[in-house]
Amino acid sequence: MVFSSFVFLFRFLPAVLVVYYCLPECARHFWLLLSSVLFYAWGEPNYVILLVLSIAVNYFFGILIGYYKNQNRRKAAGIVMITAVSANVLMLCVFKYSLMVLELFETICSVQIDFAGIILPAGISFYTFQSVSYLADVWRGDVKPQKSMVSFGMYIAMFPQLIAGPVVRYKFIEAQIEKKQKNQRNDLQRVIRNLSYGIGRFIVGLSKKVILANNVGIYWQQISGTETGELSGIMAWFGIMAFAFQIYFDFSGYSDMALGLAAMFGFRLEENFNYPYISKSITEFWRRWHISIGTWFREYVYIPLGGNRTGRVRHIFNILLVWMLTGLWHGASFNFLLWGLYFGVIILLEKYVILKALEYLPGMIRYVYSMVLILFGWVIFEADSIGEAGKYFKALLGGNGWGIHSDTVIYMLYTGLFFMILLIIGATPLPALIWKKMEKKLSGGRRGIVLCSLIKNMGYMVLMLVSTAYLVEQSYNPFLYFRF
Amino acid sequence: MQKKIIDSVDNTNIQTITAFKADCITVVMFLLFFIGVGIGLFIKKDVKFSEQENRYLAERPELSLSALSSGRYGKEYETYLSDQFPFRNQWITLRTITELLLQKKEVNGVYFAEDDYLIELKDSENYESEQAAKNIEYLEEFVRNNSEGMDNSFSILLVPDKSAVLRNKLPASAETADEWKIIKEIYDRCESADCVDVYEELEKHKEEYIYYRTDHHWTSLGSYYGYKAWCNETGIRENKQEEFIKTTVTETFRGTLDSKVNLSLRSDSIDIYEPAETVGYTLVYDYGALTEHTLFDMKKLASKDKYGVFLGGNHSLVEIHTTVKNGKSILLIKDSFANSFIPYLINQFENIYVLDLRYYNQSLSEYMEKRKITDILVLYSLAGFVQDDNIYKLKN
Repeated sequence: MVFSSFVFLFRFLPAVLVVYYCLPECARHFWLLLSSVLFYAWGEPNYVILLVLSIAVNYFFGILIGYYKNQNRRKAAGIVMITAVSANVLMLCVFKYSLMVLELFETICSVQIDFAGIILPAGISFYTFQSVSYLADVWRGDVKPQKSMVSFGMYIAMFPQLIAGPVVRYKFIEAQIEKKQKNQRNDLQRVIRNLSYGIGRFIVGLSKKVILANNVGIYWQQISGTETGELSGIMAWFGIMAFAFQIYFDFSGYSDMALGLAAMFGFRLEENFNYPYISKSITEFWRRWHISIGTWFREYVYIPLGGNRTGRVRHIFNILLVWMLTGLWHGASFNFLLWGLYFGVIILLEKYVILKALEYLPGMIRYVYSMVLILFGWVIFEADSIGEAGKYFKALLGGNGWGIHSDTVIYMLYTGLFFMILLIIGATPLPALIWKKMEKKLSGGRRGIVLCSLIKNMGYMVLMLVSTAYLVEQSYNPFLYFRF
Repeated sequence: MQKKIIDSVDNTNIQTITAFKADCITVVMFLLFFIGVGIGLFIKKDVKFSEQENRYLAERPELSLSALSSGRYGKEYETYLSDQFPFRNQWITLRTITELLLQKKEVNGVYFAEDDYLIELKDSENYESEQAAKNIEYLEEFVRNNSEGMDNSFSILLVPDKSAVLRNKLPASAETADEWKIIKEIYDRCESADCVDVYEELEKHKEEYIYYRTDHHWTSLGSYYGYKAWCNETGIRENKQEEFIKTTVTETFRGTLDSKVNLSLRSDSIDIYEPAETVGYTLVYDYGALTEHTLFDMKKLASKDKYGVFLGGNHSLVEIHTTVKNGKSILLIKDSFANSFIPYLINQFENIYVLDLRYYNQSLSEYMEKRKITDILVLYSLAGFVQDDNIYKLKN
C-alpha cells in the first residue's frame, strides 16, 4: 500500500487509527504491528513472510546478544553480533543485489541466465537497516534488548516508515516504545496535540507528493522520454531541474507523511529533510538530504571504520567506501555506485581543499556551485546506464546546441515557468518562515490564536481537497522508491 | 502584584485552552473527512456506466487467492475506488481549477484554447502506430477490390480532427500531429477511389462554427462543408444550404472533451438540417429491431450524450429507405462523424445503408451483394480511423 492511495486514506488509515485509540494501552503495539503487516501484505503479499521472518530472527539475535553481554561474555556477544549482521546483509544482498551480480556475470562470461523470478521486496533496505541499528545498539550497550517481540516487531514494521523510510535508529525511539516519559495527567491533551500535528504534517506531505511532485514529474517524464541526442542545452537543464524537484518533493513529502502518521500514533521521529536545495556545499547538502540514511551510515559504518581518526589514507578510504555503499543502497546498479562515488569524491575534495576556498566566495556562487553539482548528481542517479548519463551531460554542456528548435520546448518553458517558480520558493524555508512570523505576531491574544487556527485548518482542508481531486483522476502517480 | 501573576497565569491558561480547542477542531474535522468519505465509499451504490465520461466504470474486483497474491487485487481495488468515488465529477472540476490556477494550459490532455474551445491534442505517434499502418492497408485493399465494381461512385472521406483545423486557436507552440500530411498519404494509396479533400474545405471555413467547442465532433455546419466537398469530388449534384431548414434543438450540449475536464465553459448548441422539400423515409435499425421515421432522436437531447440526436447514436446497421425512386443505393461505412452527414444525402438516394464496423460482425461482401450497392462512401474521422481495431472487417 502507498500513502497516496484511496485504500490507504479512506479505508486503512481511519480504521487503524480509530481502533488504536479504542484499545487499551497494552494492546496498541500489537494492533500497530498487525496492521503494519497487513499494510505490507496488501502490496507485497509474497514477501510478507520475509518481513515476519526477519523480525523473528533479529528479535532472537537481540535477546542473545543482550544475554551474553549481561554475562560479560564479550566474545560470544561479538560472535552473535557478527553472525546477525552478516545474516541481515546476506538477505539484503540476495534479494537486492543478486540480480546486479548475475547481470555482471552474464556480460563478463557472455552466458544467458534466467532470473525473471527475482523481484526486490519493497522496503527491504529500510527494515534491514533498522534491524542492524538495533543489533548494533544492543551490542554497544546503548540500549537494552527489547523483551517483547510485539514491540520489536512494531519498531521494525511500523507502517509509517516501512516502505520509504525514514530509517529510525532504535536508540532514538527506544524511550518512546518503552513509554518512559509517560505523563498520565495530560493524556487527552497530548493525544489531541499529537493527532493534530500528525494530521497537518501528513496533509502537507501528501500535497507535496500529489500536487507538486507528480505535476513536475510530468515534465521530466516528457524530457527523459525524448532521445537524449536531440536534447538542447536549455531543455536538458529544465529537465534535470524538474527531476530534482520531483524527487525532492516526492521524497520529502513521503517523509512528512511518515512523520505525520507516526505522530498520530504518538511517536516522534527524526526529521529526514531540512531544505537540502539551499545548501552552500555538498557536505552541507548531505546533512540536509535524507538525513536518516546519512546518520545511519555515519554511526554504523563510518565511525566503526575509524572515521577520520586513523590517518589520512585510511580516512580517504573510509569516506569513499561509505559513499559507494550509500550509492548502492539507493539501487542495485552501477550508476548508483557511481553516484555514491561521485559524492564521496566531492566531499573528500571539499574536506581537504574546496571548503576553505569556498569561504572566500560570495554566498550566491556557493549556491550555484552546490546546485550544479547536485543536478549533475541527479543525472547519474536517474540515467539508465552510464553511457546514457554521458549523453545527458553532453546535452547539459551544450553539446547539442542551445537553440530552442522545437515548439514543445517553448511550450513547456512558458507554461511551466510559474510552476517552477512556485517549486523554487517551496523548496526554501521562506513559506515556513513567513507563517511562523505571522503566527508569532497574531498569537498574542485569544482572537489571534483563533484566527491562526482558522487559517491553518482552512489551509489544510484546501490542500486535502485538492490532493483528493488529483487522486480521483490519477494520470500520473508513481512510486519512486521501488529500487531502494 | 499578586493579581498580575494570576492574570498572566490565566492568560497562558487561556492560550493553552484555545490552542487545545484549535487542535480539537483539526482532529475532528479530518477524522470526519476521512471516516465520512470512507463510509460514503462504502454505502454509495456502484455506478456501472458513467454518462459523463461515456465509459464503463470499474466494478468491485472479485476476491480470489490468486488475485490477492499477485497484487492484482490491490491495483484493481484502487481503480475501483477512484472510479466509484463519491462526487467524482466535482472532484475532476476541482482538479481542473487547480491546474488552471497553476497556469497550465492543458488539463488531462485537453487544451483550453481560444474562444472557449476545448481541444485535445493528437500525438503523432497515434498515426504511426502498428494499428494505423494495418488499417491503412485494409482500406487500400478494400478500395482495390471494390472501386471498379461500383456503378457510380466510390469515395473516401477522412475528417481531420479539430486540433488540426483549429490549430490557430491552440496556445502558442503547442504541438499537434500534421493531419494534412497523413490524410494526403492515405489518399495517395487509395488513388482509384474519389478521395474527398475535406480538409481544404474546412480550412476555408475555420472561423465558422464547424466543430463543437466541448466535443470532438464536427457540427452540422462542418459536416455540410464536408458534404459539399464530397459532391465536388464525386460529381453528385450538390444540395445548397438554402435547401435545408435549420433548427437549433439544444443550447446546452457539453461534449466528450468537457467530460475530461468537467469545467463548464460555454456550452454548445446543436443544429439539425432537414431537407426543405419533404422526402418520405423509413429507418430500419439492425434488420428490423426498430423502425423509425425520423433521422433525429429527440429523446437523446434530454441525456448527456446529446450528439446522439443524430440517428440515435451508433448502431451496427441502419437501413434508410426513401421515397426518392432513382435506383441509387449507397453504402456508408462510417464512425460517428457520419451521423450528422446523413441528412444531406436523404433526397439523393433511394437507399442509404449505414454500417458501423465497430458493431457489425457479418460478411460485408455478402451484404453488398444482397443490397445491390451502387455507391460506397467510407467516412471516418482520421483520429478514429487510425485507432479503430475493427477496420479489418472490411475484408469480411
